[in-house]
Amino acid sequence: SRSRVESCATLLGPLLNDKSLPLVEEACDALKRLQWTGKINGFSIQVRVDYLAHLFTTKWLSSEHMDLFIELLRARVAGMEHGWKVELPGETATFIQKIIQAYNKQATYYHSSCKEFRWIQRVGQSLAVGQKTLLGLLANVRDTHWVAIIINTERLTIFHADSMGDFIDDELKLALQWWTYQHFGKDFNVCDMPVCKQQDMHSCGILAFGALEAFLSNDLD
Amino acid sequence: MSEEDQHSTQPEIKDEDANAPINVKVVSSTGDEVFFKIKRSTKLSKLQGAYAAKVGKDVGSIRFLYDGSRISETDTPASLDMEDNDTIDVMVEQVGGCH
Repeated sequence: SRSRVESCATLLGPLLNDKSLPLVEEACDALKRLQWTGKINGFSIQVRVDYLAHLFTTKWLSSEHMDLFIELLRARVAGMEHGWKVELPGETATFIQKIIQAYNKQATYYHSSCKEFRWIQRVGQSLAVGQKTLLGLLANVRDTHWVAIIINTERLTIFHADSMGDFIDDELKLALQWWTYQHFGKDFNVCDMPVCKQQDMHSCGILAFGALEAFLSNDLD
Repeated sequence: MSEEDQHSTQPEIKDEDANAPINVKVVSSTGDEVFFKIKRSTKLSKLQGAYAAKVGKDVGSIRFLYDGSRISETDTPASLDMEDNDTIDVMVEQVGGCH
């Protein structure tokens, strides 16, 4: 409405002039035409449209965003010549949590009556038999930070990308090494992979995804 | 019971089994477990609501996964081929920006 535009104009103050005010009105009209309720179309998971707004702000990204990114990457990788090598599980943050849960309940992982780790067992087996050789994940550490993980089974290596330059979280490292050992019977090394250095307090999600995407693109080309 | 009786009663037994309640374990991301008994034809959204109420959270703020996939509003244990003593994972949305 005109009053909203004018209130925006008041806030923007000296930046606005006779030339920019029409632009603000035009932008407000465009925003009114966008659908900002309901679900985002075109994805297998149901995520509210307003989550897209976070991508234009400094608001921290959530596991919902990571799952949208992973789904986009999965579609891109599927079109690559060696895309068959790559496993990108949906619910990526939960996948890591399940591995950590299994690590903390090691005795039950292969127990026949235990059904709670079927999902990660199935993925582990598909890697062990060579159906897939690269597992890409986005992990949330300490409930504050996104990092990228790629497990390369041909090189017996767990690659880790942290945009803040930190070493891999101890619990994450031990859990991933334990889980890979369960399926391969071999010790996996942990190495850093390239990632853009974070210079703000909010971009780790985008940067972790960028690292995952770039690494897979280079590896598959 | 004659062979014919056994044959005639078998479908009823199957129907009864198909609707028999199963035990389902709901596991949170921290490993806490809550157990439910639910009929195979009952929508899992009912279980989700009961779980949210039990742990004191808004049902819209948590995600329920079965075998790695999100459970939809219309899913039932039967539609997901769930078995007795199966597990549902509960996930709270996680956020990150920096360490």
